[in-house]
Amino acid sequence: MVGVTGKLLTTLRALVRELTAHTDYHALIRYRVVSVAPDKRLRLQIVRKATGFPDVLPISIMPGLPGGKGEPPPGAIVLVSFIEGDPSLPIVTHFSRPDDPAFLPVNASLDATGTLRLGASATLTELGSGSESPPDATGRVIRYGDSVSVPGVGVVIFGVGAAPVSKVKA
Amino acid sequence: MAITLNGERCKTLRLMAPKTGPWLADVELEGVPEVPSGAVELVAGASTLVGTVAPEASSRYLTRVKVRVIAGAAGWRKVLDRRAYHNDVSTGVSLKSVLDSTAAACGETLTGSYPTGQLGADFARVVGPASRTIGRIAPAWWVGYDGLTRMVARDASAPTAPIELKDFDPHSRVADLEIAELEDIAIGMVISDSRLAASATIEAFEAVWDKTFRVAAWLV
Repeated sequence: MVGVTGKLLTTLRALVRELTAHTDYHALIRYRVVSVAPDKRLRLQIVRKATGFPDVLPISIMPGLPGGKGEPPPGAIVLVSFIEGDPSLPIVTHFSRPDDPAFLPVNASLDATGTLRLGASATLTELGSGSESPPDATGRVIRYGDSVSVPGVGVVIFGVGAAPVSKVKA
Repeated sequence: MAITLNGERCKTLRLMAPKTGPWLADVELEGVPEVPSGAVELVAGASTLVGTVAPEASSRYLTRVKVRVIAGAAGWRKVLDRRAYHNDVSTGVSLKSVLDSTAAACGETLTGSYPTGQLGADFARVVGPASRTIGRIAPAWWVGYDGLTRMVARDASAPTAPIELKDFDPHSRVADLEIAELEDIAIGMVISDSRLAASATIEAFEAVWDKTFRVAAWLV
């Protein structure tokens, strides 16, 4: 009886596995960033080989934030998913958690064709090297129209004339 | 009609032919010959079926030798290792490269045309049976009696020899048919009979030989 039950279970397990095989690609798979290709796609290595997914995939990032992009550092853990469960459409969708030493990207940008608005309702909007806790906005950001005295050069007003650098309006 | 497996006469034959995937044949041999292994030829009248013995379902018990034969090299059930395909050219990874390499890895041979369509720049093959990869890219794949794998659906066909309709169950849509030769029936064959409400196509069948072939055919 035990043998029959075991055989039945084995058969049932195989059937269920076969019937659900199409869901293999509906998963988030952990990969480690090995390097970044010149075209900004990530070369990745699987974290847990037991998942059965390939070791290396040079694939693109699909950021969850419109206009935002970044380049994770080597060693960072990212999550890969497959669009519509299609093995030919892998993308990187998530990045390291904030407590991960590799959380900060090598570079990042956030852009918009119109207005890029930050902290519209925030009591404090920090740019530069300010810290979150305790709040400390000691960093310096040059705003449009700010004047800076440069020894040997004189006073430079940013945003006008020869120094059209800053677009920050505050 | 004589049925033989590698020249050894068979007492019974049960052939299961699905719409997609490989066919499978269970035979019981006459006498007490050695249990065959590896590639075999199963001859049933005018039909020759090329397959491979499945050792886990083939053995001798006292004076009875039963053998299971799986179409082709029985390779599509082999578990293949992971593999990442990548091609930055605008055409992306070619279906042909994935199918050819997967077939080669599991020892099967492809024939005929390849499915149309395109993959992206990547294709991630997960560890698993080779059949999952071909099933994903060429869902209509099947293996012929010659042991070769086709990647596109079978054509519709009409009977070329008499097929006797013995019974039909409208609930299960299974017809009980009698044929003289295995070649007389095929998946995709359209069955017309005044006793059926409409013509129907054979989707899958199980043929059992006992002096004649009795076939349980699933009609759609």
